[in-house]
Amino acid sequence: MKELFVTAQYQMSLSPAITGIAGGVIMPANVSYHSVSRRALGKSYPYLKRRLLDPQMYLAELNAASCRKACAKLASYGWFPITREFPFDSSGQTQAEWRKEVMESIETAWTARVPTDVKQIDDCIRTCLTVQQQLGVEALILPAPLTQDINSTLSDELEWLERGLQLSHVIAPGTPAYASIALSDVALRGPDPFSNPLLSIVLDQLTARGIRGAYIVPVMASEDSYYFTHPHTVGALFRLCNGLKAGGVERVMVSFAGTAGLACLAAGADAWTTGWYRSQRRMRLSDFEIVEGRVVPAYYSHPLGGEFHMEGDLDRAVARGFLPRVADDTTASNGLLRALRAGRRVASVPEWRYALSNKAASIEHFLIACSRETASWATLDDATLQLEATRWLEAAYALSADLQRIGPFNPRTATNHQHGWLQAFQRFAAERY
Amino acid sequence: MPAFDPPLGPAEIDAAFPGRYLRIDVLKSGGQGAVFRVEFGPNQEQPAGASVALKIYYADQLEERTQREIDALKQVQVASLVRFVATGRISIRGLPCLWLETAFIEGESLADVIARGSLSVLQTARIAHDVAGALHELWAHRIVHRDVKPDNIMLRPDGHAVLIDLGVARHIALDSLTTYGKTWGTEGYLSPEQSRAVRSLTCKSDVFALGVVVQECLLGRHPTARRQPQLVAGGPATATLQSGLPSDFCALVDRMVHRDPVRRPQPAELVDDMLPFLLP
Repeated sequence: MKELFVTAQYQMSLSPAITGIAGGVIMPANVSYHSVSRRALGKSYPYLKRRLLDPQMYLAELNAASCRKACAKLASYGWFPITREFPFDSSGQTQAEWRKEVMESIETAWTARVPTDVKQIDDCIRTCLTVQQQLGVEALILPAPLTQDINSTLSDELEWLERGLQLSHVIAPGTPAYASIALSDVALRGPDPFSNPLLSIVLDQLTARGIRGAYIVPVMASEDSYYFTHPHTVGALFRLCNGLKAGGVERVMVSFAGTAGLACLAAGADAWTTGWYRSQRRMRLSDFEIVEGRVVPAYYSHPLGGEFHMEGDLDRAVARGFLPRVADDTTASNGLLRALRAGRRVASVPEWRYALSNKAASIEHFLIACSRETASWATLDDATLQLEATRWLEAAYALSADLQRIGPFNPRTATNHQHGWLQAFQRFAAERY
Repeated sequence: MPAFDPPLGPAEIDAAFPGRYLRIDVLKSGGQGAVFRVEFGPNQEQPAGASVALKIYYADQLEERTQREIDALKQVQVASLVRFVATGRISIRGLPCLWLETAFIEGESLADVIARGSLSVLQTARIAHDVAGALHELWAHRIVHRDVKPDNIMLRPDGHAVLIDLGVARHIALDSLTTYGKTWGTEGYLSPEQSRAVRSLTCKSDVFALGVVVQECLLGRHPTARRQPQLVAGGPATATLQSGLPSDFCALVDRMVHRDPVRRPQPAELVDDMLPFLLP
C-alpha cells in the first residue's frame, strides 16, 4: 500500500475535489492543542479520519525570542519543557487572548532544551502519548530529539526510543508505535548515503528492536529551497526507507521531504506527507523565525517534478513549445491548460492569475496530482515501481535541463533539484537491498 | 594494566571470602582474572555444598553502566544462558576486583568439542538454536554479549548449549578478550561493525559471531583461521566450507554472517528458523 497523507495545519479544510488522501498528520507547531482538541477532526475534515500526530520534539531547541508563535503552540501540548504553564480557560478567554498572553511571556518560559533527565523524559513521553491517544490517532509517533551529528552514537535518541516503546505498551497497548527519525541534512549531505555511518547505526538500531513503524523527518538546514537538491540528502532518505523495510519495519512514513517523499515510495516507503504551503513541505527551523508572506500561485508539473512561478515563467515555457512536456492535467488545471493550448496567457485564467493569495487552484491541483501519482504507484510491484520512478526522474531531469536553456527563471520555478534526485535514485538502485 | 602474577590461587580466594566457600578448585587462571569452581559453606545465601563458578576480574574502571547491566542480568532467566548468582567488589593483592558467581555448568566447552572434529548439521543447529534463545533474552534487556565464541559456549551432557560469560565482558578486561581497533571482543568473531569500533552495537552483532561459530562447528575449525580482516565484508559463503550441506541451512547461516546487520536475522527469528534442522 502506498499512501499520501496531508500535513494538517490551522486551516485544516481541503477542497472536496481533492480525493484519495489517506489521512493527515497534525503538526503541533501549526495549531495549538486547545484548537485541535476542540475540533471534530474526522467529521469536519474527512481526510483526518485517519490521523497521526507528529510530536515535533525535534523543535525543542527553537529560540522562543524569534519563534514566539511556534513555541506558543508547541507549549500548549504539554510535553515541551517550559517553566510555567499556560492553561486555556475557554470560559474566560478567547483563543486569540490566550495566544496573545502566551506569546508575550513564552520567551521566558520556553527552556529551549531537550529533556535529559530520565524522569523528565518519561513525563514528556507519557504526556505526548496520552494526548495522541486522546486525539484518536491510528498509530503513536514516539517523540525523539533531532540528530545533527553524523558521528552520533544515538545514545540520547535510543533512550527516548526505549522509554517510548515501554510507555506505549502501557498507555496504548493495542496501538502501533512508530519511531521518530529526525535527521538534519547537515548529517546527511557529507558522505555517500551508503557509507554514512549515522544511517548504518539508525538502521541497525531500529530494525534490531522490531519496531512496527518509522516516521522520518529530514530537517533542512544547509539549503533554502522548496526541494532538497543534494543527492546525498535525498539518497539518505532512499537508503533509510529501503533499509527499514528490508529490516522488517512494517510501515515507513516520510514527512517534510516535499515531492521527494513521492520518490521515497519507490525506495520502500509506505506513505509520504506533504501539503502545498512551504511550511507543509519542508522542515526548516529558521522558517519559524519569519512570518510566511502572502502566497502566490504556482503550477505543479509532475513531468517536471516541480513547479512554475506564474509571473511569466510558465508563459515563457509555453511560448517556447514546452506545454506538451510540462502539462499536468487535473480538474483544477484543465481550464488553465485549455487556455494555454488556445494561445492565451496565464493571466487570462482568473484562478491562476499571478496575484497575492490567489492560491486555491494551485493547492487543489497540487494535491490532486500528488494523490493521482501515489494511487498510480500503489498499483505497481516493487520492480515496476522502481522502473517507473527512474523513468520519471530521467524525464524530469531532461525537461529541467531543457528549460534551463531558456532561463533564467524565478527561483520558485524548480529546475535545480532533478539532477540530484536522479543521481540519488540511480545510486540507490545500484545499492538497494 | 596490573596483572595477577603469579596467578590467583585457592588460598587467596579463601582468604578474600572467609567462610563463604568450603571447596575451591581452579578452573582457569590468567593475568587479568581467574575462574574457580567453588562449593558454598554453611550459613550462606546458597545451600551448603552447592557449586558455582566464581570469576574474579581485575577491574579498576567499572562503569556505572556495568552495574546497571548486572542488575538487568539478574532478571534474565533462560535455560541456555548461565544463571547469575551474585556479584560484588573486593580487593585482592591491593587491586580492585569484580567477582561474579554464576551457576556451574556441567559439561565441556564447545571449543573443546570442535577441537575433536566437525559437528553434524543437527548438532550445530541445536547449539545455534539454544544460543540464539539466550541472545534473544539478553537483547530483551538490551544487553549485547559481544564475545560469543566457542570458549563461551558450554555443552551440557544432554547436548544442549549454554552461553556463559554473560554480558559483563564488554566493560572489563579479560584475558580471553583482546582489543581490535578500539573495541572489545575476540578476533575472528567480531562483526564488521564491531571491528570498526562502532559503539552502539545490537543483538545483530552477536548473531554474526554466532554465525561464525556455526561455520566453525560445521568445518571443525575456524572458517578464516581467526583472521579478522577476512570478515570485514561478512563471513565466507557457508556452502563453500563443506560440501553436502542443506542449501536452506547454508542460506540461513549466510544471513547470520552477512556484513550488513539489517540483513541478519533477529535472535528470536533465528530460534524459529533453526527448528526445521533439529529434526533427525
